[in-house]
Amino acid sequence: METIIFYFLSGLCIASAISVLIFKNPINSALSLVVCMVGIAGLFVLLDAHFIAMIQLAVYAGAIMVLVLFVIMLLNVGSGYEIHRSKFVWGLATLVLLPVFTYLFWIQLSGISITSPTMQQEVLAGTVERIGKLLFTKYIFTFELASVVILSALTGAVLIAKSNSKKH
Amino acid sequence: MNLNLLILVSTTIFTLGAIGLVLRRNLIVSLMCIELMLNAINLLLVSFSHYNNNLDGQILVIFVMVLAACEVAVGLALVISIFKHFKSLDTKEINNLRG
Amino acid sequence: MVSTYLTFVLLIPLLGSLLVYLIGRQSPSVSGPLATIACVASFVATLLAGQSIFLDSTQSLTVNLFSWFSFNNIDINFALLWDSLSLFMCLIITGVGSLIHLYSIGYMSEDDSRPRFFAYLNLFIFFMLLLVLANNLLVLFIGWEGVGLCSYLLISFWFKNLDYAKAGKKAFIFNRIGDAGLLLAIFCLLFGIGEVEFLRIEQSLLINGAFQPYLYLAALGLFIAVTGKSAQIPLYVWLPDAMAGPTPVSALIHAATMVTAGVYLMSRMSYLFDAFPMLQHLIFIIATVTCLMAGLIAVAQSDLKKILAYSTVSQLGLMFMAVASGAYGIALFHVATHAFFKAGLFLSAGNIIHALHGEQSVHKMGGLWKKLPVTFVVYLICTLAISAIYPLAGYFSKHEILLAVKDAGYLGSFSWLLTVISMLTVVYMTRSFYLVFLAKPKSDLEHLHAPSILMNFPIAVLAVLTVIAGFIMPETLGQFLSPAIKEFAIKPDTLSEGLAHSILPIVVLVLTIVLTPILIGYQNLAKVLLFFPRHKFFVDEIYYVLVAVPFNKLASLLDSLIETATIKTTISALSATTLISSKSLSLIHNGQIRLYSALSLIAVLVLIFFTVLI
Repeated sequence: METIIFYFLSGLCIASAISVLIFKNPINSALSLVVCMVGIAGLFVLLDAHFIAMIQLAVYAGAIMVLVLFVIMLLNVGSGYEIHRSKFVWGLATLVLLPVFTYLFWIQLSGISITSPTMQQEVLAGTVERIGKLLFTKYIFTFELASVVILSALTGAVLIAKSNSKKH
Repeated sequence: MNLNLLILVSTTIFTLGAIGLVLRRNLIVSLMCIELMLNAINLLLVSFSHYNNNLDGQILVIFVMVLAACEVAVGLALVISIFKHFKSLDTKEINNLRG
Repeated sequence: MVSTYLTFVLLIPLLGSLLVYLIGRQSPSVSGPLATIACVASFVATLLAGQSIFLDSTQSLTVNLFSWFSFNNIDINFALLWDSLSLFMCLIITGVGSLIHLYSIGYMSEDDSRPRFFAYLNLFIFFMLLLVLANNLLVLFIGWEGVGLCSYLLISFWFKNLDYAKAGKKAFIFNRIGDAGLLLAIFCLLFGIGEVEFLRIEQSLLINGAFQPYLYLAALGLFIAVTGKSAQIPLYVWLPDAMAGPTPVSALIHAATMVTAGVYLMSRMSYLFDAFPMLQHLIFIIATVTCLMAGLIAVAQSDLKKILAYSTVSQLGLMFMAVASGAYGIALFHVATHAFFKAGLFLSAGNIIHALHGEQSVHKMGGLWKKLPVTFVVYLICTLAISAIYPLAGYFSKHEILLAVKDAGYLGSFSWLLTVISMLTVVYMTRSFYLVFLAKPKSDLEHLHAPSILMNFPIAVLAVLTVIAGFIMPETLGQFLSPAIKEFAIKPDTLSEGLAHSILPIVVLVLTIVLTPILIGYQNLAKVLLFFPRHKFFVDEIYYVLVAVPFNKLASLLDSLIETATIKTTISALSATTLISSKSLSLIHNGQIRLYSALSLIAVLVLIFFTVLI
């Protein structure tokens, strides 16, 4: 059962990721990205990372994507300029990234082999309690630092968006 | 559900994000592609954390998310001001840095 | 206490130079008095510092200012040597220097760049003092180069005149050749015996003897250095051209002080030269030829300052003859007397040229004795002195030199050359004196530029010194200098020599005065007789053909072979490569975010690839 769900979710993620690239309208892309993130959240659940899965849904699929969608709607950008796709860029992309992809693929299939997942006696699930304990003991300093970073980023974002609107 | 498959999935998503970053001309879509790449990394981190029975990886995921949120906030603010300035989000037209 | 005074002696002119330049830019009229005060202060400090040596001349003192550098166990100190010889030189430099400073205030009063002039003059005094006070050859070298620099700066002081600038360059280049000799000597001494301090070299020579090839090379290098600075054959040609500078400069640098640095250096290193009789012989021959040649040229020149310049070369040759004969003390005595009367002559010439608005040709002067009485008297006294007429200073020093040279016996049966040389002096000096003062005026004398009291006072002092020096100096100087250098023996002369030396000049003088106006009538005869001297024996032309022409050819050859063919091609190829590569690289910098992100991805992948590979 687990395997079936895993394959389903993986397929969903990859398919929606592809559609992010393919859709010309940013709104469609954004919605596909939401789907992809929900799929990844499902994979998190499968990997016993419950808390991360929740955050993934709430922060990413919820807050961040809503923000993106909001901006898209606010600016009301069309999809006009995506029509003329330069052949040079496509050629570059395939030339560069195809070999990269095959290379990574090859490394996966040949090199490393951590192939026995269920050998562990007991799986350490990422529950809220455990994560919280770790976050507020071992990583308390980093956590505080992250809060400072996010505060300054928000202030900066407000400043950037506001100062320009005044000028024009 | 073995580790190799998970790595493969996350690598694929990461590569797709990279391709999108290079190909798409819409600035907002570029930002979304970066999100895609970050998510792929998160997936990889959680998988390794799961298979190593170690929660530190998941903590790192939380921090990555925090930074992703910051990045999106600042990025979107920049997108708004760029749009106000250029009246467009086409990266091909925003080429003031051309040497 | 003495060392403090000594530091003052050295530092006052240096500070004065800086101050004069800085303050003088605001108020040029202050610069002259300020520089003069600095020079006089240095003179006073010299007297104060020399108190103990005046009482007891055997005293000598080494003042270690600071440690300069050390290598290979050789410590070089920036140290001063204070003994009777350096005191003697310091007194001449600061004393005559002060008088000439005072004179310059009057002489340069209408020049706009006075501050520069006086700053250079003070700087020259500083370097010259450093030269004579140095405790070792390296410190001396600083002074040696410094006076060369100041000489260059002052010769080409009016650098807007191209000829003057060229004269400065000529002096500089010829001095460089000599300086190379000094460097050679320093290196040889360091290499051979590992010492550059005068006293230690002397000790080393006393202990180990002088039979080392390095020492011979060192003595030869010193001699080359000395020929450059003191204008001896083959490097004398710069001195006559150096008259392009203002006349006080000619008096101070090119007559009284700098050119005698060679005599000083050879006296300081007398033990080294005494060890090589062959070299002394060579020096003697060169000095004799210089003396004779310069005297002959001086007879045929028409430029007043050039006559005096060649006279200086000739007198320096006389000093070198004394040095080569081992009579260092007598040579230094002549340095002192020569400083007095030659400075007096040059400053008088400065008065004359100043009065005639820059006219320097003796053929256009004449009848000036009425208009410039003080100058006339001074010039007369100095002419009599340089002609070695009793009882003026020149008689004593020259007489001693001639005796010493005769005793050394280098000349053998050619000793009559000495008489010719000393009579040549009488001839050219009397000729110039006659043409300037006694001959019929050639030009309008009404609009003369009368010399001020500032210009008359110093030459009067110099004339007084010229008169009295001969009576005071010989015996006292002998005792005074004997600790620093070799014996200063006044040789007892026979009655015939004494008579010859005191009467012959008077005879020649009278003859010249009588004959010159007659000879002027036979212009063509004079032209034929004096053809070679008039053209300075074509030495400049010979040097040009022998040195300058091959050098220019070599330079143009190297220019076409190396400069154009190799260096230019390489550089243009390099610049072309840079241009092409940067142009092609700038294609990447096209302002497209997508390209940038793709490139950074590629870079990351390449790094990963290499990490995996390693």
